[in-house]
Amino acid sequence: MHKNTNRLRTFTLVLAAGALLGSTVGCSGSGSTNAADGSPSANAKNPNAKRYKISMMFPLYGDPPQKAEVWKYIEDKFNIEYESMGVPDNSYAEKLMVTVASGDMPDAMVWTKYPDPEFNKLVRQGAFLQLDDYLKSAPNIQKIPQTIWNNIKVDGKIYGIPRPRALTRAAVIIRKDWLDNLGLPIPKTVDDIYNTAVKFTTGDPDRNGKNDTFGIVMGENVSHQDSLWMAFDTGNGWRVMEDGTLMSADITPGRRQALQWLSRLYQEGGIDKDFAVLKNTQVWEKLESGKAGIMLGGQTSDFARYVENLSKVDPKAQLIMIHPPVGPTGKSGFAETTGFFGQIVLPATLGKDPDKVRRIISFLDFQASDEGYKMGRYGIEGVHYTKNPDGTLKLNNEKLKADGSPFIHNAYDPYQYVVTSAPPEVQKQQHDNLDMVKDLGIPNPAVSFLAPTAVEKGADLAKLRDETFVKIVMGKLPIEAFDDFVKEWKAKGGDQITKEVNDWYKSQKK
Amino acid sequence: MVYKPTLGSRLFDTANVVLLILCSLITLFPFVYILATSLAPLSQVLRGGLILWPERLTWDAYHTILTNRHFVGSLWITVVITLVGTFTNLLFTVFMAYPLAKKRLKGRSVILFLVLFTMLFSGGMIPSYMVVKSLGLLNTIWSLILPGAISAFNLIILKNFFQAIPEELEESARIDGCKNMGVLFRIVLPLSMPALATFTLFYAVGHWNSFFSAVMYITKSELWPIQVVLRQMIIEGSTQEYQEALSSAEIQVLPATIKMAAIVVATVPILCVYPFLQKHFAKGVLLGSVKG
Amino acid sequence: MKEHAVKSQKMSSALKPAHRTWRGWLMDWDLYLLLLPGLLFFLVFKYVPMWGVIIAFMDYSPFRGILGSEWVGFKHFVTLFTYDQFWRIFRNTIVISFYNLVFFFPAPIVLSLLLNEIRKQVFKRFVQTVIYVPHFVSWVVVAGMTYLMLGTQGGLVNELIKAGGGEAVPFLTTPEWFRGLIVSQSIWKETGWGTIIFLAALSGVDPQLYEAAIVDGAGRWRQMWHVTLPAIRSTIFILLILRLGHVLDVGFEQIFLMLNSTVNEVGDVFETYVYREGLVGGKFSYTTAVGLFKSAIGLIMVVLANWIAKKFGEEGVY
Repeated sequence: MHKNTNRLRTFTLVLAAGALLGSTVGCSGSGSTNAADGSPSANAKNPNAKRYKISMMFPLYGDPPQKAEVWKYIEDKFNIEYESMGVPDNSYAEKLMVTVASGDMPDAMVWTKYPDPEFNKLVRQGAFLQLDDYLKSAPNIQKIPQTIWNNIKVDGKIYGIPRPRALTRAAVIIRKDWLDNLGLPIPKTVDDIYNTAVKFTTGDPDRNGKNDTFGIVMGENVSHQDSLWMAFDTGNGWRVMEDGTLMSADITPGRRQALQWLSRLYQEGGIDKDFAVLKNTQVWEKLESGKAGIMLGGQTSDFARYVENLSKVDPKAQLIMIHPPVGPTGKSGFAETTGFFGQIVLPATLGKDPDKVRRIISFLDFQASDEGYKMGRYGIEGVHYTKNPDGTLKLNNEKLKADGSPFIHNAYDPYQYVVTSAPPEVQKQQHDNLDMVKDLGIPNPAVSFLAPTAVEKGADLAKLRDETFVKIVMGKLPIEAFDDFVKEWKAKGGDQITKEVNDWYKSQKK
Repeated sequence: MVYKPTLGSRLFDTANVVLLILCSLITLFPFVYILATSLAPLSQVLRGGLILWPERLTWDAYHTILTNRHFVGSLWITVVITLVGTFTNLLFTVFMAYPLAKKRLKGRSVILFLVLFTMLFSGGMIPSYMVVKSLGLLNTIWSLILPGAISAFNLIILKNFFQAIPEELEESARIDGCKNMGVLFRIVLPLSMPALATFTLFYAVGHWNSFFSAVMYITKSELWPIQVVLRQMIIEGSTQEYQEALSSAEIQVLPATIKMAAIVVATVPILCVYPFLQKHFAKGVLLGSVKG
Repeated sequence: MKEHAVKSQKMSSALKPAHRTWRGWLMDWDLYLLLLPGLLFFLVFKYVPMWGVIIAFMDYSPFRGILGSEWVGFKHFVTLFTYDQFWRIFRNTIVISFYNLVFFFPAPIVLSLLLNEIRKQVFKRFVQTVIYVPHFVSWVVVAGMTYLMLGTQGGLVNELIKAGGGEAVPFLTTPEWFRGLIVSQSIWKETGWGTIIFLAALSGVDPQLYEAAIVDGAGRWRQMWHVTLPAIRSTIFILLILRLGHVLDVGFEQIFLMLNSTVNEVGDVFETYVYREGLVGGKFSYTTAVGLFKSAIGLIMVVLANWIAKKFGEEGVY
């Protein structure tokens, strides 16, 4: 027993030592973080001489940015002490809410969700600073297209700075080597795609003697079919019908035709039989592992990764991006996006310190400028890249990745999706595709409007839609089930939503 | 111990061993998959399918992770949090469980009910965050230790274990002149080593795996524990926003090998804790010696 | 063993009849002192934040806070109960919970009893360490592996079936398989971890009791019945009561990952429902109300279970 008491004592001592150690670590970590407003240093005569402490919160998708050269550059240039609050993106939504509720908001936050009823509510409650006047002196931010500004305005005023993205950046990706092996031309219409998909499944296109390939890749809830829907003219979100009113793209006749096409193809094996359980990463893997031949709703930026990974599995594979297929009425294209990803908001309390706001805006404006954009992407010359004699840049990708970027804003650059660490041929393909799809976007006429009933019943209607569509494609329900779905959709709130959207649409047109 | 094994008894033993071997294989199986994938060359992994044996030992994934400065820093932080945290947990839990194990204690039932109540009802994230904030714990490791100092579940079970210790042992210690504290340290704790080992393990694993609290309470990435850093390497998100970010080439998607290596690195250290604690699970060793 | 304890307690109480109460207080002042840090903890970190449950009765706005938000009484609960799929969600949750209770709950008990019968310490320790490894594997990996094994295109099991001449079985997209799959996954992942508590309890059993039983002529089974099981009986009851408190919690991540449009009718549970609603945005109050409902049901179950346990002479939780 004594032996054990002694052991217990030693154990306690060791942990007590650990506790002491821990409290020193804990204490050194706490520092002085909480004050989000500027703690001015001694010289406060000239507003530009005042060193502000600026904190910015944004979703983090990888490693947090390092306090390296770029960081020091911006701190010097703008005379600020910059605090970068990167929050892991999968918990970002909760962190945002908690931050707002705690009453202690950082100087700038990225609001990712759009459209967001909560955001609109917060604006109306006076949580965020109105930015119209401040932005007048931000030339680079002004370059953002007017349509995007219109989309994010709440009650006609600007409360956030959108981070612009290209309106259309999707891609249709196909295995060129499979087409060649089977002697098939590049498919142009949806019928061509159909036949090609079937041949990809039955014709052993990779010539390995096994029946292990299939045509079109698809994920749960019939995902990754962007260009197909557009080819059948389902509309994007809402379709402007022949009589000028809007109908939800979930119930248009085009949707019915597309579903019928898909269910026939599924029966013939042209679509992954397991699609209903596949998450995004698993969908990509189907293409990268050489099992699938066609992706109808891919992303231009992802193309680089697909090429790289696929080459490791099958060095002879050849992926290309083609023009989206044309449907029975001659339509083709992709769903146009909102044109931005997240908006940067400032807390209304910051209005008490207009100089600080101006400093923040000028910092963001810099990020939107050409110089700032280049710095955000390529870093500082001599440190992260060197200029080649022909003007192109030689990037030190490792250092770029290790340092990360403290910028949370960007300039408008449609070629942003070209992956700079990819081989030149791939970059060219991406560049060309972006050029091609630029004007192929089909807009959503009601993208900025949130019908009140949609907030209430939207989740349920979406679930009903997904269940019905998946079952129709899999053949568990006949195509006639679509008509029943339309009736149910309308009865469970769809009609109400349609009315609200149309009322809004009419009010916008005048 | 004189003991004549019957035929039935021997059959049972054999069947038992076979069954347990089967269980071991089934439970080891996912880890074999993870380990194999983490050591396999990328070409094999990308081909897909269930990998149980790497074609060629490839250490690239581990190299990437172990040379990541965030990772190494977070490893150290996590060790500190786990040590300090587990010690704090044990202190608080033992001190509370011991009195509650005495049936004669007034108010015992009420206190236990109140504890149980907290297992079912909670105010949610926002009020908890505000409490932690008002105590000035944000961005310190104490925000990961204090709000979880006692797990109601562990408390209730530990109290139960304490109650199982026979009264006469306590009585005999009291006759020898021990007060309550003496009984706790000389009788109860030594006899509860299996329970203490169990809860040390539970609490330690809890700290090692802490993720959500760290994200909520700590914005300084230097203080992030290992799970946060690792999850940033393993991108699992399929949210709409993630898709947006992905399509703007802001993120680098890391291959499955790194995901698996991250899991191995995150898990192996804590797996090693159990074997250390196992010796405390020795059967009733101390009971006999005290009784005499 | 229990009889001994009861006897000695009766004896000591017989010795000090009238003075027991105040003597008890005095003797135990240091016990109350010991309780203090723990009580403080629960007060500060559990009860002070409890005000958050009020959100369920308001239209809470995080910016305005509690004082600035509107009181709506039971509106959210009415919305919940009149939701046309409420019974489906409730039923799914209860059924999965029930399956877990019947199949998953006893598994660690059985396994720990089996492990207890092993004489070779080395083998026993090896198995103990190995079986709890799946606890550390995230649900994401488990779901991914499930697909690799049970998918119809290239899934291991189905490839074997096809090689044997059969038709691929759509395990993952057929409602009939869903619940079994969920419970199997839980058993696979958590049984090993669950044995730890029971093994700790079993290691506290006095070996002299086994000797006494053998002298009395007890075989393996009777030993287990009269010595082993009673040692873990109170632990089993406590765990059962605690589990009943979580009768409507079935594990969000696992179900969310396995859920897809084809199995919604059996797999949609409270947590996935709340998640969906939360995605649309700004539904704190509603989601808090649903959580409150689940907790209330759990409380009723616990109180009931505790009362029944005490009626049977068992130690309840409180």
